[in-house]
Amino acid sequence: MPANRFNNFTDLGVGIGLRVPHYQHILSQKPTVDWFEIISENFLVDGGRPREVLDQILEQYQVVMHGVSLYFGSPEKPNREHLKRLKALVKLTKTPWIGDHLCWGSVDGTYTHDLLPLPYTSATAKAAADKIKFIQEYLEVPVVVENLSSYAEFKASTMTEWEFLNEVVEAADCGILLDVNNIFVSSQNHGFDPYHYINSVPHHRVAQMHIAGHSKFDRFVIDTHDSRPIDAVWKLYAHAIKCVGRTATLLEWDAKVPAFEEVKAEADKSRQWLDSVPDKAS
Amino acid sequence: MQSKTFDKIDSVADLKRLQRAFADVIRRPLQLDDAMAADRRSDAIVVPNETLSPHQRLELYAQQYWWRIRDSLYEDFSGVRNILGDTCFIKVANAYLVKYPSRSFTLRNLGDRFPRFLRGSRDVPSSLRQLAFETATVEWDKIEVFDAVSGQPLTATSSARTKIVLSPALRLRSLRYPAHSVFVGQKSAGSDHEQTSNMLANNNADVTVSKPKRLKRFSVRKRSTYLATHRYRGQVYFKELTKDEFNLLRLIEKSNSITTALRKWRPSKAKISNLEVTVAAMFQEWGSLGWLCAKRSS
Repeated sequence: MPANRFNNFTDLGVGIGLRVPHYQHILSQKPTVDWFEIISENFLVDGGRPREVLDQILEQYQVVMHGVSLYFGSPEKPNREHLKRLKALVKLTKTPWIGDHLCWGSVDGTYTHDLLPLPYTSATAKAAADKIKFIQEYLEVPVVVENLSSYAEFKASTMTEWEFLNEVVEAADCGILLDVNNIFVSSQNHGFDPYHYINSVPHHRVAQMHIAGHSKFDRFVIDTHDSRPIDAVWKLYAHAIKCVGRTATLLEWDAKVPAFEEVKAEADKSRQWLDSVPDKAS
Repeated sequence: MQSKTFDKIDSVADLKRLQRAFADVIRRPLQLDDAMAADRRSDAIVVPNETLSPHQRLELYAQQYWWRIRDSLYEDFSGVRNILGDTCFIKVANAYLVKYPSRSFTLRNLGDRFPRFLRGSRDVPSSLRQLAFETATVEWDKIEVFDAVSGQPLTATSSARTKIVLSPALRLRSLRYPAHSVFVGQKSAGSDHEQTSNMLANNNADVTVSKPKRLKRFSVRKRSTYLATHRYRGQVYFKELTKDEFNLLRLIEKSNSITTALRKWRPSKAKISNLEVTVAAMFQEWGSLGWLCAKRSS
């Protein structure tokens, strides 16, 4: 749904990830872009080039923060220093919401720097929801939870991923960042119907969507973000937009990054579906 | 007695136990051809699918973990890699990553203990140990300088009583080798640690493993070196200093006062003629480089 409380009642349109190879082009050419998504961790530094670039970007563009290390599914309390820096960045960027993944990646104070999957149980859902609530209250900005792409399933799981996602976001009363490519990748690896997944999430909680490319190998699919989305993923996205309504959409292209205009052209493909749905979900 | 199965996650304690086991399995050093070591816990944690066994599913994560953190060290310490060669570097890096798994939310900090580790590592040939340590120290300085907070510039209104500090984006080193010379001619350093969401390097056993390019081996002769690693207009640079310049900067760093530093400074008068003019030129240069800053009030 556009303009809901989970995206702070904004309707941002089509976004692009802010990436180092594009800095020079963006700062010199000042292209028209609805919004940029930044990876928060790249800017949680004290100064230097990353902050200089961010300051210049903020003068001209809307920025939304997206993280990779809040680890909602790690039961440990969030690192205070990390949260303080995030909050300062929230204030600086005036991000309307902040996203991160429904995953874990740290245990006993050590970090894997990966987005690891969770066992889908009620106990896990409650732990994740408690952490999301805490973080949301601290940061004072809506938190949206992104569904993961995954390559393993746990013996302990007692429900499906979409049931799990439902339980977490209802308990945390938070929004969803629906990553359509991640749904596709996971559906290939775990053998479920991606359309059923999309039909089953609470559409009124979707604040943002991601779309991206992946890599298909003989026995699995990997979420590589190194190419344009394939037609099957665009089709899934079209279905998601039909279900959810016009929603801020971001194209993730993080590896083998081509020229800015090529990335933008690919991102703008989403407009054909965004512009064709009414404001409310059908 | 603690259950050895992971069939039920009914509590936070169960979840932590599962995550500890998962992390333990994937963080064991990879074997030849980057294969994950066999671990009986794989079958207890993960279910198979139509194409992959539990071991193979976890192996994807294990490879991802090791390739990501190894790549991080390769990038951050390419100078050390140059000196030691790939085989020796990989051995030392693996040992380091086992002993010091990441304890920060950012990969930027992964190598903060690497210089000291190198100095004490028996896997590093003794003839190269000091050089490797100094090169790693300079490479770590580059990382710190790149995104350090900017100092508060001195202005025309700064009074004689203003406390002077050296810029946070400046590091001074007294070295036995010109360890920075391995970087001369390369593009100026920056943090390439752009983290992204769900980004993976090649992580499939069927695909050629991505390894860093082999660098041309570089040898460095011992030479007493006084080095400044600093940031100027967003880029990191090296500047060799004379011993007198280095000592004066160190005194300013310790005393936060130019007056005190000059009083304690003992330049080599035999080498400096027209001392006042020389010192004035030094300060002019350091000022223009942004090395001298006003101390921020707390």
